[in-house]
Amino acid sequence: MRKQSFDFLKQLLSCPTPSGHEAPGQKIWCQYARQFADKVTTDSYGNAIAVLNPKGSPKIMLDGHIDEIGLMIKHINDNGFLSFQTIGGVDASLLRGKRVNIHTAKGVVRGVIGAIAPHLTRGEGEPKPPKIHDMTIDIGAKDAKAARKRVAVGDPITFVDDFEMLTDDLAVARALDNRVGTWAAIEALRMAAEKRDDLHCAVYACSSIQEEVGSRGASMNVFNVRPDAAFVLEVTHATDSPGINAAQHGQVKLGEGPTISIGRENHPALLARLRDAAKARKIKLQTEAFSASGGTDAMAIYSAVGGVPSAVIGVPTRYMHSTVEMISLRDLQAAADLLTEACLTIKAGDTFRMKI
Amino acid sequence: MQRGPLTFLKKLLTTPTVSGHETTGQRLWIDYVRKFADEVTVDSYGNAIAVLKPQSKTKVVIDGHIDEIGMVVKHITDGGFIHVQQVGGVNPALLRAKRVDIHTARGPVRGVFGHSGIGNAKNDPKMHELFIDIAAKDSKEANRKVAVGDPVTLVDDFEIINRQVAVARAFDDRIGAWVAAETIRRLASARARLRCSVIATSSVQEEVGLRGASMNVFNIRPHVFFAVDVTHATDTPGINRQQHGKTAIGDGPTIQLGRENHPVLTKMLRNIAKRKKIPVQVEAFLTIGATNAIPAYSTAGDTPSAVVSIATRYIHTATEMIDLRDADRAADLLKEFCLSVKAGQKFKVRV
Amino acid sequence: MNAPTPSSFETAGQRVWCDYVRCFADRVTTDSYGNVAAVLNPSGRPVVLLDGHIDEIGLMVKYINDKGFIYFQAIGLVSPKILPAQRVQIHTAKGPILGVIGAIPPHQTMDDEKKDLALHDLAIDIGAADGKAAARRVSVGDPITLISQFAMLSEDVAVARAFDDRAGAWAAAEALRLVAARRRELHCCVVACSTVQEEYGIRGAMMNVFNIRPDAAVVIETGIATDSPGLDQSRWGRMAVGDGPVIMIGRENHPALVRRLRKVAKGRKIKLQENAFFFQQDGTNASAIYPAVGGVPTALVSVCTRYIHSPVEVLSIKDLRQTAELIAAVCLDIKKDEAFRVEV
Repeated sequence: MRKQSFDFLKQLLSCPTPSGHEAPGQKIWCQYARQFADKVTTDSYGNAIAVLNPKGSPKIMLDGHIDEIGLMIKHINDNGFLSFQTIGGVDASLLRGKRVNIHTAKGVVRGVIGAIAPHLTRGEGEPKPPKIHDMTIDIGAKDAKAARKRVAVGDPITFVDDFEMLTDDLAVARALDNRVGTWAAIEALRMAAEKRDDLHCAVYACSSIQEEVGSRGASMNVFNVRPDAAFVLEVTHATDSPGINAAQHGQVKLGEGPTISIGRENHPALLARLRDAAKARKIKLQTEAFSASGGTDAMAIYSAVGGVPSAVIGVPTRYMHSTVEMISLRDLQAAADLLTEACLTIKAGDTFRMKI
Repeated sequence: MQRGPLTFLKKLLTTPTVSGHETTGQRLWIDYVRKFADEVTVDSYGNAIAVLKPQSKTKVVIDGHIDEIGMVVKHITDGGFIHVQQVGGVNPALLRAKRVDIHTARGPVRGVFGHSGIGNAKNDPKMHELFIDIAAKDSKEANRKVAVGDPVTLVDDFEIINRQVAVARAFDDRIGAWVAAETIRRLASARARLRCSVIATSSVQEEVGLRGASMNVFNIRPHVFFAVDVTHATDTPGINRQQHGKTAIGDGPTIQLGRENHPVLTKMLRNIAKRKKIPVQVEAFLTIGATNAIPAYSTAGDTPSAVVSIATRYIHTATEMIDLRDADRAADLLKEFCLSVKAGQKFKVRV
Repeated sequence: MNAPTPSSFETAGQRVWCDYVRCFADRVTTDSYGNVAAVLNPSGRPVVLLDGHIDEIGLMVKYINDKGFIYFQAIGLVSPKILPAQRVQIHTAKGPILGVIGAIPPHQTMDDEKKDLALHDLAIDIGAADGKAAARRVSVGDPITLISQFAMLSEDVAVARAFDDRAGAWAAAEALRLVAARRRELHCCVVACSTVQEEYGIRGAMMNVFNIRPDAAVVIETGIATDSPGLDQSRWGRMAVGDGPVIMIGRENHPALVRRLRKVAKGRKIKLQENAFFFQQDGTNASAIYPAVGGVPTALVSVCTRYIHSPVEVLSIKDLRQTAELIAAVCLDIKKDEAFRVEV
């Protein structure tokens, strides 16, 4: 991986971008994008779009979402402890004992989600899984008054876990989902820009907001951009760690290449392009059935504005929506390369149709 | 609350406006707002739209949904008893022994949800286990009086029970439609100072999927969208504030933060509230339920939106309770917002 | 009815539909995901969309295990209870392959505690020696349909896999044909759509309404009949096979269209059944159409069907025929530039 690209990835991943509060991460993305794109714009909610070859045809949207799951202060209790709600699909059983950053108007305040010591719960039988509202954040405030001087209802919260390499290929971070997608989208634009004499289509790399709360940014973007086709870069569940039933969830492995999905939003004409591109660049692909368990921005894109041929490219990820998400950087690079190749093979006026 | 607006509110609240059957209430709303707005139109599904200063380019929508939850006649038994289906989030546990009006083509027919102490009626019935008794002799008479599809509402009325606190069926969300109309009324005399077009929408079919607002945002393409709706007050026994936050009736309209609530809008609202000394409450975005701001902000491109709510106790029961001052304050807050909008102002997250 | 059309793999059925409507439509177009629209009188106004979805529920190959057994996921809402002991067709790139969904013999399950059956507890057997052999014939992503052909049960009542909603697509085409035969009387523009991907969440209809921007729409669906054992009419309303097309009241069903359907039915002596709107919120393509592009007056007309989402759906051919007749008659009854409004 190119050093500047790697540094950019690390920067993105260390930035807090909970849904609805993505601006700091978006700033990093835009600064990077400005080096390669012909135009970089943002909209009223902070979606960012980088365009290469705006006069080209067809219009190809590359979508990744910059927002991450997180928490939000819901209520400041009389005793100075903070109650919270979730932003997106946070697993309540993974919160106790975590350190958090509360992003207040005046800067970051550190806190911890407490856990009652095992010594004190011995003999109480099987521990029940906690509910979100049974947990609180401790910022060391004496009482509500003291707490209110430092934090407020509505302040967003992220976990402190940052990026690190486990091996020379496997990376661990909080919220690879889906900053890696925005990384791949702009990287594909960068690599396409290097070969812009061969580029016919217009490339719209979108760093979308608020996917985790309903693919909202993608809905806005597809309406504003009206692309002729869209590739969505998302993390997909790797099923190669213990306890996952392949019969139920399919087989996807870390390090065996990005995935393409079959059916539903995944347009056969785009899948054919991706397969051809993979062959040309000798990229190994894994194949999965369309995601029965979750959605991606493609669900908001493909049926909007009269139908947009779309395809999801998956980056296999273990432990999704935990603070130890894990991917293979080679898979991620391959996803970006695949996207680049797909864009470069699109000719002026290409359409993506079903053969009836 | 002033007398004229209060009378209008009372009329709205004592009119049946079950989702899909809002026309009677819509007529009242239009008759009221027609006196102040420059233009009033109705769309194909009955959404009503009142515009002040249509020539201004910047469009600010104030939305309240006029529809309420209720029921419709589903099936008439051989014995002449009536089974219903819910329209929106009706709790069947709260219907036993209640009086109802079935709104037929020829006028309302009174009935009761029967609960017999000597029968096998459950204490926790499902909707289809309940029945309405209109004292019809037989199925023939019942079928003459009532038809499958007729909307049904509970008969409970509006009353002020203490100082400024009022009780009614379905403040949700006729109070929002009231605020939208009132904002127009309060601005009508100040229209010379307006630098934007203010559009009050009385939306239909929110309770069955936020439908009216979807239609409106596509047709109007506003630059700003405010959804005025009710929010759960948590100041009564049995509600866990750690889970649901702190919201009280009488402490002012609430502003919500995050997700659909555009940070520039919420900041402006809070600054205006401070300047004009309007008490407001602040909550995190809703994790239970939704408002018209959801389709508004993301389905026709990016539309800066925010929710302004009236704290309400016992939502979706026949005895919803609000402090009328909160509704008044909401209208004032939105009026001041509209007056503060500069010509061509953009509302953007700074990246 | 016999063409395989699982959601996102509808082309076989679309081909049949296209060939049929081409004989009488002015223009037949398709879009990027395979929706087909057949237009009659394109300059007419208002534009009236007739929608029936051509896609059916099905299964999809998810995982081939080392022993050659094929695990699958659902396309649309499939109850695992109807799957054991079914014959299936796996539609591979090289053609259809026969398989069976296994069932553990009763001798071996008699004493077992009853457990809720999940989709991943079942597998398809194609008689492969092992996983490698199976993978040579079948791929992850191949769509699967159950084997169940159309047949008449009695003079009027028919059984098939997935009347839901090829019957609706049929009715849309048939209504267009009936209108075309009387086109001199036609004022409006009729666009009959054979829509894809309804079972995934009314997706094709979302695309159509945006592209076509109709002024009104009639959606034809199979309605859940409640006249067979085990269904509570006080809960679901009365929907009887053979008692005529069903119109729904409320929510998406625009009052002006509902009134029109009643009036035209009376004029043609077609007996209608009536029910309160279908309780599921995004349950039919009507939910995709009516709130879109600023609001489209829409009505749902249903053909009562028993055992929906099973391979033995049952309906009355007369109901189906009358549904097409009714909708054609409504199209011909619509005046030039007529608008459908709620009277406030």
